[in-house]
Amino acid sequence: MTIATRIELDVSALAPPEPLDRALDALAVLNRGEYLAFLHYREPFPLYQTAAEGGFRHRVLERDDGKFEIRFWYADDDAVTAEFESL
Amino acid sequence: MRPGSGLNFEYLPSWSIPFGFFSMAPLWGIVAGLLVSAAGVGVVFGDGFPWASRWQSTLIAGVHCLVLGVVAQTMIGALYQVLPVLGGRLIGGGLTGGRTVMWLLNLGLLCLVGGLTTSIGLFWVACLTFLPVSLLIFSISALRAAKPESQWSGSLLAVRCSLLSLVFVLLLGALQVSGYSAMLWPAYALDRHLTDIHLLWGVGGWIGLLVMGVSYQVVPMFHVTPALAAQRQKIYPLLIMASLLLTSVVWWLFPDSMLATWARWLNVFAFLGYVGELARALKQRKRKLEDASVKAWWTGIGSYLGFIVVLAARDAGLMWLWPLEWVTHLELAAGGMLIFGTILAVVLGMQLKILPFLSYLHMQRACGSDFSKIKSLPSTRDILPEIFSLGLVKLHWLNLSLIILMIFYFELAILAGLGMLAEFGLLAFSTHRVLRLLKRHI
Repeated sequence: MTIATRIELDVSALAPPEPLDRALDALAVLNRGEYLAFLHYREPFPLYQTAAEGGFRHRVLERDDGKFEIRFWYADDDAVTAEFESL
Repeated sequence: MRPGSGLNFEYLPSWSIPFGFFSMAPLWGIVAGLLVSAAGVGVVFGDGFPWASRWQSTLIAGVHCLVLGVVAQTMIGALYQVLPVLGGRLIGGGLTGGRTVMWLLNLGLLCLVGGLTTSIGLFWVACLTFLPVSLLIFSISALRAAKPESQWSGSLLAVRCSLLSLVFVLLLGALQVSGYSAMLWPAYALDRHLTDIHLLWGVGGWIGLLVMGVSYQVVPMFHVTPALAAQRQKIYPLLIMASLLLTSVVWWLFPDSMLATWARWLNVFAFLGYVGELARALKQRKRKLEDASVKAWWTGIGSYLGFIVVLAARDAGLMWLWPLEWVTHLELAAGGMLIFGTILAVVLGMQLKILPFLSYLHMQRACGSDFSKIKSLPSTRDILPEIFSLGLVKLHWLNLSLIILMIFYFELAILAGLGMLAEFGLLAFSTHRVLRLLKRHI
């Protein structure tokens, strides 16, 4: 059963750096107990370091529709961490 | 390196390396514009016909200002940024290496243009020192970086083939400069078949393959198009290298034969396959917004088709369908369509995206994890306003038309040169503006 609330952000039709911009907006208002599901055809590499320095962890999943789903959540959010580590 | 991604964002060069090259490039477009205008003034005052053949020194100087000064310089700057992303290794030499390559390249080109326009021997000697040292340092360092960490991507393969072509182009070019300076055997070095092979590898190998390799990444990324299938990405550079090798051998062994003509068409069609893939990708853009960079790509595609038509007409002329003077005009028009219409247009298209994106990336890196600081950064549209980009593309259309017309009406060279001054002046201003913003935020 999923505990964390999913906040979905599909940026697959946007050109850089718009996906990064949108992700930062979404991360800025993300709460503990929530995770951001970032959907794109490519991995947002420049975002990973910024997000990590901002206190977020991430996990990359490859979906059947060809998109990457990158989940971001607060590194100190133990409940969400435990849920995703069990995946 | 992220497993399976084929891209690596862990290594970014100092921003001043790519931007150093980007700042110098438009200045050579301005020099080319001045040369063209001066030739036009010469025509008006009855001082000869500057485009009577492709072997005239003013024309060769102008072409090298564009292909080496603008195109190669921009693409070398882009490679300093792109290769670490593709291969996971920085191009060696750091800031000092990058600056050495840039200054020697520009000094060497200055001497080449000086030699071609004044015939002063010292220019040739200096050119033969600066240009080979610059381009050899660059190509060897870049070849060492153009290796995959796990498996070859189409981009990396195309870039590696392009760098190998650069070494060959450089050797042939140096041989010809030796011919001009009478340091070697002029009759051998200035053999026009050797010049044709130099041109073939310069345009088809070094620039063509480099544009292809970089486009595999930048077109899907910036224009949100489907990426070309991985296998096909690798086939094109290999096919083109094979056709370049075959053509060179045929041109060397059987010059001026029908076989030599067919060999040239083999290259034209090898690139046409890639151009078709590119056009199909651009047609499948996810968001069909008005975009100056896309217009520049379409200009390149359209000009390539125009180049094929003009080249076919020229080859028909060689079969005595029309006078030799027409053949010369068609040859020059084909060159204009290929170099100014295709290559410069797609390089401009890439620059319009790469300039604002790279500056934004470096600004964002400088902000660290401060989200609010990142949010306060100018957007890419603020960094390079669309009005500038559209202006550049429209000036490029105008100049392409004037360049083709001036081949037939020599006096128009004055207007074509002024148009180039306007286009590259605007590019220099836009680049300087981007650089000022970048310096303010890092």
